[in-house]
Amino acid sequence: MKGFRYATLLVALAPVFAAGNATAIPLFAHKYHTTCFTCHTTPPLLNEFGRRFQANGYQIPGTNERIALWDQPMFAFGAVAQPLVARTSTWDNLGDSSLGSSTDFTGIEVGLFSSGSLGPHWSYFAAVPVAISDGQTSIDIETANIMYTDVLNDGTGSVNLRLGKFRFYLPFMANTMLANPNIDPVVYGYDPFAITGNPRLVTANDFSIAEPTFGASAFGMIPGIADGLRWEAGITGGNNSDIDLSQAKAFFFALDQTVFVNEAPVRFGGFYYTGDQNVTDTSTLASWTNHPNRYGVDAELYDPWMKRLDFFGEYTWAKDDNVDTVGTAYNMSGGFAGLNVIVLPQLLYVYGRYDFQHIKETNDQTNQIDMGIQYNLLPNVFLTGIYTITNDKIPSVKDITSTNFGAGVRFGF
Amino acid sequence: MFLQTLTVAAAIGLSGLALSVQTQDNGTQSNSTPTQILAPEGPAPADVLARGKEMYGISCAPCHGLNGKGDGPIAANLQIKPRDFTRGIYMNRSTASGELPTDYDIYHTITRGLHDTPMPSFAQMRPEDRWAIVQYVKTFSPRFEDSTEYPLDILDVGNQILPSPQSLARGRQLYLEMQCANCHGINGEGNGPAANTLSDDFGNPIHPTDLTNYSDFKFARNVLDVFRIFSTGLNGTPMPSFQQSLSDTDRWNLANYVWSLQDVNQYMDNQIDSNFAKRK
Repeated sequence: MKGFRYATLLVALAPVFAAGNATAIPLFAHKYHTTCFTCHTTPPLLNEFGRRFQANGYQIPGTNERIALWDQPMFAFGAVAQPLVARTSTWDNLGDSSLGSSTDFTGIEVGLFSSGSLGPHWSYFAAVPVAISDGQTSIDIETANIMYTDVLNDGTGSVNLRLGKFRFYLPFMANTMLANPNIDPVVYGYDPFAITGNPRLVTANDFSIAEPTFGASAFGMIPGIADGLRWEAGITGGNNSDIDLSQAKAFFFALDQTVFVNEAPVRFGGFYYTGDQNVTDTSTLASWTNHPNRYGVDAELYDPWMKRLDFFGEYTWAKDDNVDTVGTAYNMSGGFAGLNVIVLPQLLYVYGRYDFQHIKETNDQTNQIDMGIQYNLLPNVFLTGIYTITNDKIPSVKDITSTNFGAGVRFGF
Repeated sequence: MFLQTLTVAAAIGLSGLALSVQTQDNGTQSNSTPTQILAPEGPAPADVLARGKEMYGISCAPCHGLNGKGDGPIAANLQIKPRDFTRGIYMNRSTASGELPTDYDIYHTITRGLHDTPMPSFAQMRPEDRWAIVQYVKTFSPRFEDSTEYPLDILDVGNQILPSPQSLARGRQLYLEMQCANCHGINGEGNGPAANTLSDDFGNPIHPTDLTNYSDFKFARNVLDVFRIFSTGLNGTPMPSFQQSLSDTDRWNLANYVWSLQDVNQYMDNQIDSNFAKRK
């Protein structure tokens, strides 16, 4: 009961926030004099139009902007703030004891965004999160890339190019899902080097396929294949921070096919990531190369009658052939499945998602349930409530359950 | 692409020529014979329709649906529902109440979008693609090929009455007499007694415009647009036409008053923008 009262208090303190990845980008609503709901079912969950907007280089589908930003009446700029207060409790099931609990205010992070045309075909996109925590202010250039759009010059945006720091197209990144913004799908964050826990290992990578990376890619939406085939193929430094392509390299490829069934979108696709990672043991200075492979299949469908139930899921495999000094291979499989529900259009949404992950070599199993609610209080103000329960288990070795309850607000400016 | 552009341009040019032949210069007097489009143009060339279908599929289908019924994948989540093109009912027109829009009216809506609604501006789409979409959208409704729907009477704006104390006073008087306040509220804030009871012809709830808020005007960007709406009405919505019930002069007076209800600074900015545009 005490916990419940505490939870109620947290909800009452809703004008606090959900921090983490960049989500809704109100600069586009400003720029095009439209609403969030043109591109989002509710921020940050992208709808079909929003995915096409993204695939067209952050331009309205079917358009290629000609007017450079310096010739426009206002600078294309927007910001999102989304702090969160959360109560986390951890329990050791084997020892039947608490490992502690804490209440955290995740700090104030404001995501600054800018995107615009640099003239016919040329455009840019940049996201710069500014975080304030413990009296310290940090600024990170999360993404910054230049795009050459509509390469075929046919007005469809079927082929575009980009260069710089960006996220590869994964259809269910945290910043496009209706979910706890602090929690990426479990499988996206999988990093075998982090799991081995050897502090002497310094990889060229702080690896997560969902994080921005330096690279170049071609992408777009081909309209003639069913109701639109989105695609991306790119090369990268193979990590999220190392710009030196000689240190590591990787290749990424993704497809995302849309078909309208009774005017409801059905999407299915897959992605493949492969490359090299250069690894060094700082005590012995021994170096070797790991070859990470990530591939997955995904699907999403709305119910074809009301179009208010959005089912989605993904299954992912990961193979690393050389993660430590003795050449150990790691294999992971996992994924997620979930449901977003439009309860009241443009007002109220609920969601639930189940994540799972299994690492073959360690028999480490992770299961997670993530549930939440989002209410559109004002045009650019969204109240959120989240609940996450995670279990990390290796039979007879560890069995730890943690719960996270939070409430927040997402503001767009 | 060049041929396609040429074809669309030729089609537009021919329709414009036909229009000009049918035009009678009626000066600025009210109740004079309007400019008319006498008959359907006939179907657009096949390559134009094919291009229109492709671009419609990319840009419009997510909201309006592949079949133009306004039930696209996104529609269920929108409070302002996308237009059902199969009924041939359009709000934004330069034609008389109940009539079909001109091609340019549809082109104009695609280009401008509807301010602060999920319908964005497609001004950055190629003009020939926007025209091709116009031709394709028209194929959803048989009304466009029905000769009994013609002629279309094109709005005559008459003599514009500039804002003045007299015009605004008369406009206020008309605002009350014509029961505008019943929907838009006594102060134009969109909160009249009937505001929460309205629905459009498709059965979707609809809310009257807050006339004090520039951003709430979906079509109108200047006082001429307001005058046009008073003259044509908004088909498919409870907003009627005053073409028959008010003279040109009184529609201008009412338009001046309604446009003046916005925030004064915003109003002045719009005038400055308008004057600047004229100078350019």
